[in-house]
Amino acid sequence: MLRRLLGAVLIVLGLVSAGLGVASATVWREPDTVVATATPTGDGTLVLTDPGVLELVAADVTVSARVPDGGRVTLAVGRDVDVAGWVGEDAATRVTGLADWQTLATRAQGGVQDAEGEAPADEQPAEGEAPAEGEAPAEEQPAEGETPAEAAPVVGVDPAGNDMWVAEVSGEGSATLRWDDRPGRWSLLAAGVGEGAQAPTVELTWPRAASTPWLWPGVVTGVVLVLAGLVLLFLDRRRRTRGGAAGHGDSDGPRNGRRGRGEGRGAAAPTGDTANGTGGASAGDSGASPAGETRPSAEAGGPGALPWASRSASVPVAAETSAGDGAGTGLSDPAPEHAAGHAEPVPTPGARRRGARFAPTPSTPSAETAGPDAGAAPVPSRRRAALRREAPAAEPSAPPAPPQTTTAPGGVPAVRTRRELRALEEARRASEPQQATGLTGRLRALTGSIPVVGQRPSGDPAADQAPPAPTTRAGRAAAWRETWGFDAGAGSQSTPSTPSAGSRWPVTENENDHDPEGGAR
Amino acid sequence: MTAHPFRRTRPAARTAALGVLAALALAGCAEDVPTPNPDAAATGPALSADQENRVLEAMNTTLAQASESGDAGVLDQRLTGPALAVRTSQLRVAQLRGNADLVTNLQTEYQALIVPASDTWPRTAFAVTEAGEDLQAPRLLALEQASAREPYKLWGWVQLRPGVTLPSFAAPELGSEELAPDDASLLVSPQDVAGQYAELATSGDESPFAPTFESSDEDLFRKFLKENVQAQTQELQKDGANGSYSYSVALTPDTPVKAVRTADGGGMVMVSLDMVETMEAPAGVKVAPPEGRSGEALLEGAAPTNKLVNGYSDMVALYVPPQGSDQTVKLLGWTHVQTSVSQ
Repeated sequence: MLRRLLGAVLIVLGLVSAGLGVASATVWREPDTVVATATPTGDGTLVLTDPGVLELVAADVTVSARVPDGGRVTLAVGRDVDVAGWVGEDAATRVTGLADWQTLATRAQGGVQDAEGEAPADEQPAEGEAPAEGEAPAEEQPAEGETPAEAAPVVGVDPAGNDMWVAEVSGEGSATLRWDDRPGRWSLLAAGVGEGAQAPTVELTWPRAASTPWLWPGVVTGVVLVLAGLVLLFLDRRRRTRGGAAGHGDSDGPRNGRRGRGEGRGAAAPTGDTANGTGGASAGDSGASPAGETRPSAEAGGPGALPWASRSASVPVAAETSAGDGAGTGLSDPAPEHAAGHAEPVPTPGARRRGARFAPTPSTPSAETAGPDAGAAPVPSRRRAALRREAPAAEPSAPPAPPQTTTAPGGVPAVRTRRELRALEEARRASEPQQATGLTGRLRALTGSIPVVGQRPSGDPAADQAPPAPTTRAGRAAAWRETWGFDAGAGSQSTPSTPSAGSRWPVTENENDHDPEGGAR
Repeated sequence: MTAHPFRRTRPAARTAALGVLAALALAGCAEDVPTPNPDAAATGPALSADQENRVLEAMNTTLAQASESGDAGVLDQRLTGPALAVRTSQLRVAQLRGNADLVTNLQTEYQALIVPASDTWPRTAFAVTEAGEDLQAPRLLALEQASAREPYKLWGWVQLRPGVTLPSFAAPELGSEELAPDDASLLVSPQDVAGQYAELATSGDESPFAPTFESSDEDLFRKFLKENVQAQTQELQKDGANGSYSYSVALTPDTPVKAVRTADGGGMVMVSLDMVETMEAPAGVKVAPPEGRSGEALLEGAAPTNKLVNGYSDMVALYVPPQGSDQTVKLLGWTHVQTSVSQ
């Protein structure tokens, strides 16, 4: 009981962990840009960046500068020595790097200091205020600065138009400049211009490939926890089963009843999952193991009989339903186009094979004229031929000449070989990212490929005409073998175009979707 | 039996939960902020070819604007130094004469750009024009950026000597090293070569510096001066006028030379010179400037007297071989424009 509770708790925790991991990569994912702002410190109308700041996060940066009162602002990019030389000894705010992801580290540079010499010397990401007061002798600057007669504090000198800039832009109130890094050392110069100008507030925006460091740790932890929980549950159940077999008949009844319910639940999951095909990863996972594990006990015990039937049948049933009943009915896939895309390859061989076995007549490939049995064989072949764009030979209008590659030997259509099936599977995997997120796709692979079968519900063109699905165990087994490529006999009839069938898969999938005939069925 | 595992496993579950939560909390804290990591500092070209072309375009616009309006006032936007003086004088001559025939027509197509590699100011860029439509020889222009906030301005130009081959320079992507006036890596430092050349131009082949330079028969500017002395003296002696002719060439005051490194380690030096020639005749003899020339226009119709002083603004471009070379200093081009006259 407690073990079961613990197992349930672990599963819940695992799901939560996986969910949080996924959420960290989706809803909580960091923004795709880094936006850092520099607030001018000290005096002057100028803001300049150290070399390397512009390409700090990414090679291309968008610079925008604002001045509060709608004055004119100019942005320019030039070689660092040129920018430093242009600023000269004027008071300015120097951006030295990032203080944090939202703030640029700045340092006031005063008129009396050597602009170029100090840049590499102290790169302490100053907080701004303290060095501003300490370093920038604000009032002294105009007094001492004998050289710059056009003292910046009074009138903001416009750097626009200088021959040295490789990029520049001016605007009223704000200006925006895009810069792609290039070899060399580049600095940005932002200047408030005109009388009473103030240094602009500079904002650098870089694109960033947001990392998702917690996605896989979260998911893996979740999976491990879920598995651990399942193991606990299983152990608990087996212990009880063993206890029941020991022969406490009195207490057996209620326990069996409970177990029956439990198995019923457990069995429901895999069936639905495989049928749906797109079931969640964890569901598929949890479904898989109970199905396999509980089978023996179910066989042994009466109450388990019903679940067992559905469980043991689950794999073939998926295939058979898709082959026999057609896509729509039994599978009711939540993602129809997904189903249609993947349905064809698996059921088709089954249908064709059955067609060959039960109705060996080398009949016309025309679905309209042929009986339901015979139709099963040619239709897929015609379809395949059409998909391969070998249209003329495979057209219904030319019934006597079935495609040499597929149906020639006694009307036995080409059964997909293992290689062919594998190629199709690979193609399906390749196209998977569009249908399944990386997470579910990965987890599906991780938990075994059982769902793969279920994911091929049918859009089978031959569905209607196909003979009823074999209900005998032998038929099921044959279908299963074929599905999994264990059928040695089928392998000999490989088609020459096998690899291309796989490689053209995306194309044919598209054609399937737009095939009027397919739609008519 | 049942309670025991409960107690034992429950903390484990709690630990696991805490671990997950801690991990997620940490997810909020991103990695450390990067620090600037710029390319290594290197003295690269101060201008790209594009930028220099823009500079030249702006200069040509200013020149055209001034020529159209006849207003020399706009020239200082893009002209400086000797070029500004020469152009201002030329525009004035054009105004006085009523036509612009004597205004140097600077070509606007360029066959080569020489980009400075410099981190300090002043900087000098050079450009070589194509030969003009009127079969003018190509010109070598020097553009100076006096300080960081100044634009590049045309500082001077020379007309290249016919058939001369310019030394090769570093590619514009690398930039050519700017040479200080006292650079010691040349056969003669730029400042010294300028002074020596002025002395040589004045005193002729007797100058002690003559061996450093090519002979005055090869140096077309000195050849011109030599022939000019003979011609003018002959003219002044004509008809028993018994006039005298003298001239002197000196460095333009307060105008440092412009020098740039050539690919072979030598240098190209551009020097601005002032030449003053004095023609004097005994009283009663009138010395008039030649007709149709700048001097006549600059006199503004003043009656000739027995004395005439012509001032010229000259510029020469010299190739100076590297230190230790056995080559001589060679003239690459020169220009000679009258900018003043007095009596």
